[in-house]
Amino acid sequence: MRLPLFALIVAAGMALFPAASGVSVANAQEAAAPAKDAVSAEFVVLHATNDGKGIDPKIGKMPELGKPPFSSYNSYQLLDRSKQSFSKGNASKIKLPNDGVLMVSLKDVIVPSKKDEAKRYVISASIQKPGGNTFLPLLEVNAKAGETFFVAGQNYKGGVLVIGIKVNP
Amino acid sequence: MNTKTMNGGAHEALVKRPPTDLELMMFVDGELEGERLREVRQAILRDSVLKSKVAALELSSEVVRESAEEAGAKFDFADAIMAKITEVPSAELDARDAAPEPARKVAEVAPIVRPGLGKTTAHTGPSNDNARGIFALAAIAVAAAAGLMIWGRMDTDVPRPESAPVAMVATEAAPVPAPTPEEHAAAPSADEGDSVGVEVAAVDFGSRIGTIFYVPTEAATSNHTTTVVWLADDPVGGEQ
Repeated sequence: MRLPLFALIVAAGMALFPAASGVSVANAQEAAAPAKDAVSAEFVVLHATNDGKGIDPKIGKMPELGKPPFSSYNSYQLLDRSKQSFSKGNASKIKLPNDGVLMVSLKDVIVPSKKDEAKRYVISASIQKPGGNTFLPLLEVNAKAGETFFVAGQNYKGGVLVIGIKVNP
Repeated sequence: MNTKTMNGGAHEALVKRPPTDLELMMFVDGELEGERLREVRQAILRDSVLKSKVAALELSSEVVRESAEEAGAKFDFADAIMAKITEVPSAELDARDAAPEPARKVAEVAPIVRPGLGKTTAHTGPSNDNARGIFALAAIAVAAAAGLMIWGRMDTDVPRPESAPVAMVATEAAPVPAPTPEEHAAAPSADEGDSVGVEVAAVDFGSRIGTIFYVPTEAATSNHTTTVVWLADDPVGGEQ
């Protein structure tokens, strides 16, 4: 009886004070299932102009385009839509219409302390322009599955490129 | 010979000319001199009328001289002029002129000895009130500088995460603070269930100007936002 009781006490202590135990929950899960540290994302590349054509129906439901700062352009055309998977140490490269390159990588996965909450993905992105110039040296975001973030501003054919990245479940 | 004759005739004419009253007066006063003095003297000796005139002139001259000397001894021109001025009433004189002149007291500079120092110092009166004001302003300036220095040191002492570069953030609707990756890894947020959207953990705009927008995506009652990072394509200072 003494040994099970001691094991229960130790287990309870590790559960209550995971930091003191020296092993975080995330690290424990990483050690148990390293293959899960990969994420899939959907990339949309839009061309924002003020040529009066409106929003391309192929873009789908995207109410943000009618609000600032997107509303500074009255026309959005879908140039590209793709899905990419990337994981830690394995960056995904997406070629842009202006011959630039968008590089996206997964830096970390944050497991919530509550079971009913979704994991968060720490995603790193950078954009290289043609000729080796860097448009965006670094952007690191913390996103849940289903959330979208945008990177915009590159000049392209009288307008700007708007890149949307949506983390898939 | 002819010249000598002419000169001799002129000389005789001059001698024969009787002395005038003016010359007699000048003779009495001793103002004649030279040849004319000798001639006038001879004429007076020869003529008794002239002699009596000279005697009268000498007498009158003596009387005038004596009376003038008596009056001159008692008379003071300066007092006489001032008395005459005071006798004449002037419109410019007023009560201020008539008022007695206040007694002027010459400032007295006396050395004082400070107790304990044993040194003599010049006494400074209230005339250096301006110096007091300057000292007060200088003290205020020194206090303000010290306060700014302490405030600056407090600001620099705040630890900053090295992995979070400074970003210009423009919050359009719902501002969301950008936590550092260390915060997420060590202690996940307790209110993750109330997440409002994608959080920017770190950003480096390089040489460009960038802005982070949080655009509301759903109904106004919802806090959910879409994160937008918008950069200006023209870098600051030109293309790299």
